[in-house]
Amino acid sequence: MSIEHGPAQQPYLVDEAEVELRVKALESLAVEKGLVSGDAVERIARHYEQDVGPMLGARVVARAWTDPAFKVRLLSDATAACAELGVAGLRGEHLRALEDTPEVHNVVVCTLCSCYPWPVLGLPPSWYKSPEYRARIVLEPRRTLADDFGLVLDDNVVVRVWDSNSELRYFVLPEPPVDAAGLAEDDLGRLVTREAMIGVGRVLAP
Amino acid sequence: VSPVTPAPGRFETPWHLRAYALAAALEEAGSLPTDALPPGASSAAWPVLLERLLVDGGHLSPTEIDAEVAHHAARVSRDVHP
Repeated sequence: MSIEHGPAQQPYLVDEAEVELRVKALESLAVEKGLVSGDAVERIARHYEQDVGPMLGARVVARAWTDPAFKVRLLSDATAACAELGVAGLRGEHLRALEDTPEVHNVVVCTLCSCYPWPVLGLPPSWYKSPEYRARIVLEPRRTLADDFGLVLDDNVVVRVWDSNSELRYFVLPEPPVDAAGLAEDDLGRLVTREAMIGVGRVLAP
Repeated sequence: VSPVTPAPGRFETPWHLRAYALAAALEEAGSLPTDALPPGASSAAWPVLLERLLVDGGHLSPTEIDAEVAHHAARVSRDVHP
């Protein structure tokens, strides 16, 4: 382990790949030894993921639901449309929004690694990076959605799996919930989940 | 959730988030003292601070940490695409 000291004499690891491995190792050992539950770590990480990320994508989705002209712009150039709302940044340079319809359900994966639209959705959840998800969602998407995420789609709905990469990062524009007419944009945004924008879940009911 | 509340956007990489969440969960479970990662600590220092606290507290040994790192490294190398 290579350790150096920063300006405030704080130690840090030099190699990013090594530090990621050491954090993983600490987490798995802490869980294995009962020092902490995996659920607790996940819950806390999720809290911060939600605070720093997916609510921005939810704003984009809610705007598209309430502003038809914005929706057209979002579907034609998601990067520019997101930037209109101040949603932009590293790993969000080339975005594409995929519209769900009653006939088509979209779901996103990165089969190569974990490419993900950070400015829109925040940090990728751990399952998104897992080899299991990356393989199964391509091989048997309908079954994976049902078995792993509880999302059961009608047989007449076409499932499209989109493979994100560093050059093009996808997110889903889910269908608006039924009985949402009359809700304000902010209220609609609170119904949009991270999972719905990846395509492995639905939006919440009003 | 935790005595230390990062400002939005504080997590620059996924491991920052995992390290922070692990520390907060360990504090919550009473396995580490409050403020295990002091508010003034650089996020780059979190993994080393965490590791030292867990070793000094007798929870983990350097040997088993190294072995677990090697285990994860082996998994990553198997998973690398050409």
